[in-house]
Amino acid sequence: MIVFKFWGVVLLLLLLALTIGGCQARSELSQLAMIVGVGLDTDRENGLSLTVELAHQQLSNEPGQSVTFTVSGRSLEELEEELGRRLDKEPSWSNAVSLVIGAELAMRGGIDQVMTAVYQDDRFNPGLLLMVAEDRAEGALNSKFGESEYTAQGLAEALHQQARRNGSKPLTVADYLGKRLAGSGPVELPLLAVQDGQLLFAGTAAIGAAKAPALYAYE
Amino acid sequence: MGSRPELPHHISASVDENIAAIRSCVAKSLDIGVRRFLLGNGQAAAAFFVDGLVDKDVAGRDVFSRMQQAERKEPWSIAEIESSLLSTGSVQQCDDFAEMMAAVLQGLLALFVEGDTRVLLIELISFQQRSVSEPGTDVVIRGPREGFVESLRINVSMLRRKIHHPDFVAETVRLGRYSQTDISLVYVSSIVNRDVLHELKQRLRRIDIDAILDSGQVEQLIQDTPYSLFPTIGIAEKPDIAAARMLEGRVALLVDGSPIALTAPMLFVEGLQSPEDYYTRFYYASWVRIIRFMAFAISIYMPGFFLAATVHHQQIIPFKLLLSMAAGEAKTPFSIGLSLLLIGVVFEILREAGVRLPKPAGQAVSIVGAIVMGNAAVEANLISASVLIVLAITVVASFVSATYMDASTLLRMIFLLLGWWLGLTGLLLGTLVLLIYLCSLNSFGVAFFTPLGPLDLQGLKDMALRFPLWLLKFRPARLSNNRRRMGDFREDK
Repeated sequence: MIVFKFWGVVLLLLLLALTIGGCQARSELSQLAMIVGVGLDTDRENGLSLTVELAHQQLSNEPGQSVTFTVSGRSLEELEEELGRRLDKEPSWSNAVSLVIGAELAMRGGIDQVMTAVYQDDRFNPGLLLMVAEDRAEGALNSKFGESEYTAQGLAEALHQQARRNGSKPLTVADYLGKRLAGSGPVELPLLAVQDGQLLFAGTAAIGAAKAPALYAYE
Repeated sequence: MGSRPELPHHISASVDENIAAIRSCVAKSLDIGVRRFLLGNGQAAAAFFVDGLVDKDVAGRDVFSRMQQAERKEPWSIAEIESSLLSTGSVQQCDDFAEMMAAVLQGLLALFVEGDTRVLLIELISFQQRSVSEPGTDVVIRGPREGFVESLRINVSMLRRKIHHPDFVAETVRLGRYSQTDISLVYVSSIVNRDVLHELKQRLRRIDIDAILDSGQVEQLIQDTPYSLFPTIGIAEKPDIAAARMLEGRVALLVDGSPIALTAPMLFVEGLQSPEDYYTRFYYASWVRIIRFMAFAISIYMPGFFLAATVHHQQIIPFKLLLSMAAGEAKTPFSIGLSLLLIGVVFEILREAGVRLPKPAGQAVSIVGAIVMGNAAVEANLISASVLIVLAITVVASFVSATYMDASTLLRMIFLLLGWWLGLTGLLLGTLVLLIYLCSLNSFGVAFFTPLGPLDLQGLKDMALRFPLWLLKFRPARLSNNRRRMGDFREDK
């Protein structure tokens, strides 16, 4: 009887610890809005603008189709709250493969703070690839990239293929922050441009130069 | 409730008194036969037997006829009848009334003669019984096909035919106040672990129950941990399995009326081994064993892991698969966890119905249930295809180890709930608790999780992998003190 009581108390404490620790947080697949790509821009009124490319899973029996949503806010938290309200579903960030930064935001500086916030948020994929749009990230994510079903996925696959050919690896958010912390000067990111509604790689952009960040011209 | 008449202690010298005593004990039983007759010299005699258990043709020819024709003036004594008149094989004398009654109720024929206070117990047992056939489980492609039957004698003889050695011992005890069931402890005296044998006898001695109708009852009454998820006593439906285990140092327990032998002690790996592993080549046997271990893990973890991945850790699912699963889930009214629970219960019902029904109907129910109902449920958007596939794989995997089917069913539900509630953290915690639990189990003083816990390097040669037979020179540790079972014939070459 004493043994039963002992193990009962141990079990109760364990369950309590796990429950309070938040391990039980869960979400049903059908209630998730699966985000494939993320775009960040400046916004005149609110400061920041977030564009997300969603995998439109409700229509997945038909050919793939992506949907984008854009919201604006003063901080990342505010953007996320607003996005949740718009989507009526819980945003799932773990499948996001590309993070596109708009040119204005990239040049304005302070991007390191955003990158750090993304890096520290364990809901994001650690392999999230970083790139810069020649114009706005919103425009880039609303464009088609080749034959890809989802623009963000197509971009990520293209970068991986390119890296395999060059014997290098594509730049992730973690790599970017690592280089910035090492203080080895500006970090070169892939540059995206839109031509006739099609998205393409237009060269590289150096972010985080000693003075104002500068965009390299087409290579 | 009528009170039981007091039995005389000894056999009376008067045949009439003996018959009166017997009738007072078993007056209303239609199947009790008492036959009076006279020997050749006019001496009164009587036979007492249970109709249906005694071969009356043999009794008439070899007992009654010979005694009635025995020409002699002096009265016959029981000892003289045994030595001069009877030619039947198994005969014994007895002077205790209760012992005589018990023997007759077991199927022996009791023979009294006037003037002698002893009785002859003659074994002429003959009753309808099932012939030796291949059992439903432990089916093999290569290896012996015969299975145990309900007769204890036949079962012991089947084991004896496997082990022709003087060290083969079959001790019998009788259990069950009313059933008086014979139970044989069969072992090889030079190999058996004496401590285990002693403990087994102690536990059998402690049993005081109305009836033992099957070995399953004995198993529950003597096992180490009555509330254990895992069985700590092995079962064998075939004599080659029981003999192989006896030759590793275990004791086989045969119960009269049961075609399933118990073997003790039991190790965890036993449940994932098959006799065929030793009859086929080692690389194939090892491959099949790995499959069995994997199937056991799948049968426990798969629904829990699936649920943990879909509701807690979507990032570990490949994107395209996730999309397809999400599309399927969006159409169903139930959550994935609830679907898994509900369909899991439906599968259990179908399995139970398939087993209990007559074979043709059972097969039809299984096929209709699994294919038609499953397909219809997916098409009607009651459940998603992914849930059905996961459960189907799990159920099929659970059939691989019949020994642990009940344990895996319960563990599957536990891990399903843990995965649902806590995700992979829950599965990890559950696994740790399960490992601790497995390491804590004992079977008659032998660690159940041997050779993994405690570690036995020799034993690992016959676990997930089955090494070549010539390398399995030692019996499993702790099962026998006489560990070496094979010479070095390979090295001699």
